[in-house]
Amino acid sequence: MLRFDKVSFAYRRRRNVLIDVSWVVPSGRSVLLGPNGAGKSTLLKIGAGALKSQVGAVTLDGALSSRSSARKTYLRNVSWMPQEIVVLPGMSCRECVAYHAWLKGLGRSASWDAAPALLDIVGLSDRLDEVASSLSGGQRRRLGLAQALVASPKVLLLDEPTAGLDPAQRARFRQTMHDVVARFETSIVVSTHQVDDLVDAFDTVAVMNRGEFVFIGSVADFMHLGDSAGGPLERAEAAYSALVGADV
Amino acid sequence: MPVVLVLGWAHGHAEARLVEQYSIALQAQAFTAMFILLPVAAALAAWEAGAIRPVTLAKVPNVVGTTRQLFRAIAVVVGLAIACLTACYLTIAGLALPNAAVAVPGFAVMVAACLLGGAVGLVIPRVVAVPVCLTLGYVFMVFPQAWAPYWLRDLNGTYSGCCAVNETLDPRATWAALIFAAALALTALMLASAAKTIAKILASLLLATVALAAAGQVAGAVAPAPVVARHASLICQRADVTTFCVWPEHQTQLGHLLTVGTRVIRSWRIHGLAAPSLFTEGTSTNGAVFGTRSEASSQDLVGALVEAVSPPFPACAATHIYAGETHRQLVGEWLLAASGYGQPATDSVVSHVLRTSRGAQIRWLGMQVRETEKCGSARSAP
Repeated sequence: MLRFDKVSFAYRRRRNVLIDVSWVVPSGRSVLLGPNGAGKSTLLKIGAGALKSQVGAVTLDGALSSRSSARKTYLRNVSWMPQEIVVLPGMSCRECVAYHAWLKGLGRSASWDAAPALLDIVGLSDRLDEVASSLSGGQRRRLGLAQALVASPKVLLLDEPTAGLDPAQRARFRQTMHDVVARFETSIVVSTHQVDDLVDAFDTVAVMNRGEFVFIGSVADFMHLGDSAGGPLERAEAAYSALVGADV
Repeated sequence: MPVVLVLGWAHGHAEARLVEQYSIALQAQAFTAMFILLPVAAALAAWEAGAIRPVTLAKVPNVVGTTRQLFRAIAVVVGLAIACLTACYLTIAGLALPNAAVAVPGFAVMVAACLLGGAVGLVIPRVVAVPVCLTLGYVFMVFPQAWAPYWLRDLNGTYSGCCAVNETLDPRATWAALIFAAALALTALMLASAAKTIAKILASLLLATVALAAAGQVAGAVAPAPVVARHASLICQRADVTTFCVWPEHQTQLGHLLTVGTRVIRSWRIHGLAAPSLFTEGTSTNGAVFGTRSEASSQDLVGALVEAVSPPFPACAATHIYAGETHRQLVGEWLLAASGYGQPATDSVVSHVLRTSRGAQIRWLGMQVRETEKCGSARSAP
């Protein structure tokens, strides 16, 4: 289980982006909501080991992410899909996934063999040998997901995975996430500021504002905050507005 | 790569044709193929490493670190570079056991250059990294030959100034190149590390300065060519009262030398000149030191023996106008004429001397030898 314990972080010469944040990432699908600059991406980067918190600790099943002896295990078990998907120039989709598998510590032949199944899970099996840079935006995100899944991580951190995608691509991506949870028993955290489809897509909601959590709870509890509104989307938007207020 | 291999081989082969069939010299010339191979290998490494640049730019933490990623990216290029260099080496220098003092720095510098090229490919975009590596690689290999201090040319793993048959490679030149190769490799690893770009560049510059200073300390006294006197067993044979010693590379010349040498020395004795009892290609305090080459003709051998018994240039000749030059030439002409292998011009001084008595010739010779020790006024500074 991934745990953030009183984590604070500031980029050089700037105000604190995270202030004393504590969160135990639950199993299943969690959505991390918040306006731009709330600290969502920074929290995910710290969780992924790409940044080090100045204060506090991050642990996976009790093992500190910063401890060098446990670092490799941590990095293998926590995968991060950044907003910009890494596509290696001139490489096919299979080569890209195999290379990321090797980066996660798999052997070269095991990486090569694992790639087709992962591309199949994200619906890119027909693009196996196609040059990755020719993929559309939505396909690139799914390729990124396959790259993040290579070591069967315990926790998958997805930073704005549906940003810039059209509704059909977003729906396709959510379906893929659903399949991934079912197959891999992975905890998924998705940072976004889109509140549509919360009920179907996620189990838990966490809302950040100005570097702090302002809400952590089930989707049902979150929706209760917007009870006065009409349909699910309106209720979710109302709940979100109530939590982050003038920062929206 | 095949074109580059052929060009590299052609360069090394052309250089090797200028030296004798002396193993270390051939090996040293074979490595001059690096003049062409190294810049291309470094540029190829930059290209290959550039392919994984997006991974390092994304700063996604991975189990496999950047250094290992770099090694994997350039492994094929390094393998190709080593294979090409080995092919040049074997076809030019032959299948003899490689001389580690020549081969190890060559391969080390080649691998280090590939590493550095790869690291540059990780730091800057391919379109810039490739021409930068080609240009800097070429400058690193070619320009130090024309630069001062001289030891700069000994850092790139090629020793085009090595070696005449009486010389061998100076170990300090080997160490200097190895130190520099290690510094290049360390710089590459530093550039490939996760540190901030400015910090990496500053650290790399500092390391390059330290490496140059260290290499300069080791190779500073190696000048102008990276060679020292050779200490190997000479092959000697005696004829009459004279012993002739040659390097193993000239063993096939020994029979010819004995025939020619015996005849020359007998002829000199007839003219009253007491020739030394030892002619050697090595260093000697009591014998005459001469030098020959493979395929030398009788005339070449006589010329070498004449030079061996001619008076040495005085130390003052290096700094003063050498007044004894003409007298030295006269001595040489007389020695050649007296050897039975040369005829002076009919109206020359030597021709006139040869018509005098034996005693008069020796007195004249002694006077000329004494004159060869004299220098004129000091040379003015350029």
